[in-house]
Amino acid sequence: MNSNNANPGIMLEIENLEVSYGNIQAVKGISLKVPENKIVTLIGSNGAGKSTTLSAISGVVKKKSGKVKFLGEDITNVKAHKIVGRGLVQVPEGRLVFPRLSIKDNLIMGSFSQKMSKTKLNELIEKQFDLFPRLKERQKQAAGTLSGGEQQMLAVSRALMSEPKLVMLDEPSMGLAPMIIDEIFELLIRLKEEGSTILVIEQNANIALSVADYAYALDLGEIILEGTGEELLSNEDVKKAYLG
Amino acid sequence: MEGDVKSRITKKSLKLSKRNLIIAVAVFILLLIMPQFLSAYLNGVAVRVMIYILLVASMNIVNGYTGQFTVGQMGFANVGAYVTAIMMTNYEISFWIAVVVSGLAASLMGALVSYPARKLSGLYLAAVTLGFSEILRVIALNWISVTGGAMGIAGIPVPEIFGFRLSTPLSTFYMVFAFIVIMLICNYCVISSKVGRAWISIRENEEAAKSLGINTYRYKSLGFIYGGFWAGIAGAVMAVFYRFIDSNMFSMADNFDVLAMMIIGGQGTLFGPIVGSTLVIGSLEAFRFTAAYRGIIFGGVIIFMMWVRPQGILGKSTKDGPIKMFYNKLVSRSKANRKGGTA
Repeated sequence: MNSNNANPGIMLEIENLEVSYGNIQAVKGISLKVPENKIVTLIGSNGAGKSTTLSAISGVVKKKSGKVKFLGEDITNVKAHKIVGRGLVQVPEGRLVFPRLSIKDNLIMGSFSQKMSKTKLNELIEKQFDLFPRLKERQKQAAGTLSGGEQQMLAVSRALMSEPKLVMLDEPSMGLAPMIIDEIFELLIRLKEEGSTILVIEQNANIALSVADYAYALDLGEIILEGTGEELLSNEDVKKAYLG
Repeated sequence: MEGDVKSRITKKSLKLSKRNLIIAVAVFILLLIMPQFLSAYLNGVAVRVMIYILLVASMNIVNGYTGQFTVGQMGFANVGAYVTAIMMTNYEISFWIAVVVSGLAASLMGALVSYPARKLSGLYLAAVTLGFSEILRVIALNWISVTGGAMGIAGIPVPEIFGFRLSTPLSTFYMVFAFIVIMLICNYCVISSKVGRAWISIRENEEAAKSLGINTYRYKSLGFIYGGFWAGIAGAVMAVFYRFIDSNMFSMADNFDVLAMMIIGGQGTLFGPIVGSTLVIGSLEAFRFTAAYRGIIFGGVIIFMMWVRPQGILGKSTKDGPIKMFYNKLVSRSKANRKGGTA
């Protein structure tokens, strides 16, 4: 499939991405790379253009210019609903579970974009339950009855049901208690150890940088800093702007 | 968010328990025998109820399962009714062909309205679908050379099957009954299929559905197309049952009647449309003796229903209604009193 992969090891590559909402330019020429089996994070304050970048990658928002390459293939103009089928899935901001469907049914919906046999489906569900035993205990409960942290975990599991090659998370820490945020980021490390590639967008720079292999800091639609997680954590500007 | 909220996924809520299956079969047999003992008038009422069941179920596909707020189902029925009336009166085509063409024509209208509608939601969508229905009504009123204008189309022939004329309310009862059974089976299959799962996920959370690679526009359009089909069938049945149609039968008020029946019966349930239509038409008939006051009684019943069971009679809710809340309050208060007494 990726025989023409010009840059082996680079899963997602974005070149000069620009996005505008009417006259307002939200993203002003961003370039970034997500290498295979790494956690890459994009930090920035409110309105920096993080979510817009993510939405542009997954095709929900129109790109003004720039290129998005996934597994060596140009997906700049691929429609949003087809991108998931290619192995690039997004966990949207705000724990968007299907509240009145059971946990198991939420997971089943995650596999919608893939054709798979029933045994395969059950295997994948079991895999999610291994990852989150709490979901197994409550598999018949409606997802709306879960706590905020559990809903976020369900949203991640549901995304994993499409067997993605790259998972993009939009502010997974939003509205969660610090202890649960730790749990979610520990999970991301575990997913990486199991071979996943992750792009995570965060306002909570501290925790995001501590797990990230590589990080980009975004401000007013431009990348102002980049480096390994540790480099950015010890950077004075980052400390001042994001870590307080 | 707490409490024992029951999941509402397709198959589980559709699955019939043994007891429910026995009840369903009993009701089915009862309905087959019942019309034999009813007067022509009551059979006529039953046919009207069943026409509304088709319409309400059609609206329920879009509102109850896809979660989109449409009000314009009468527009599709309008198209279906005129297609059947014109085909049968002007071209002497058999009803059984006309009814299928009517359904397909209404589906086509569904596809047409879904093109702007799939990008809208809530009241904006309601306004567009209602407007579309009104446009179709005004076209029917003014395209005199085809639709007969305000005079309507009269003398629509009676459907025939194996040389047997379905001219009485009794025989029409069995015909519409068969349509409803077919529709329920189709709805069951569609809703438990991949399409149904996509609809329900859009209803539950459209953004989340999108993030999972579900083409929400396409599935919302499919809802309008499939729902429109059964509204078209309902229109075709209206044409041969009343043997006369005019554009007034598909007015804005009729759209709201269908909406009221759907809400009272319970959205997003397979049998809600049956309960809603039967209850509304049945009670309107039962209060016929009160003449002009029955509208007031009906309005009162709707307000009461919305207060007690906002989710409809068969609908499941994630929260308790006011009566249950009142009851809970009483129980907890008496418990507290008892505790206070023993301490």
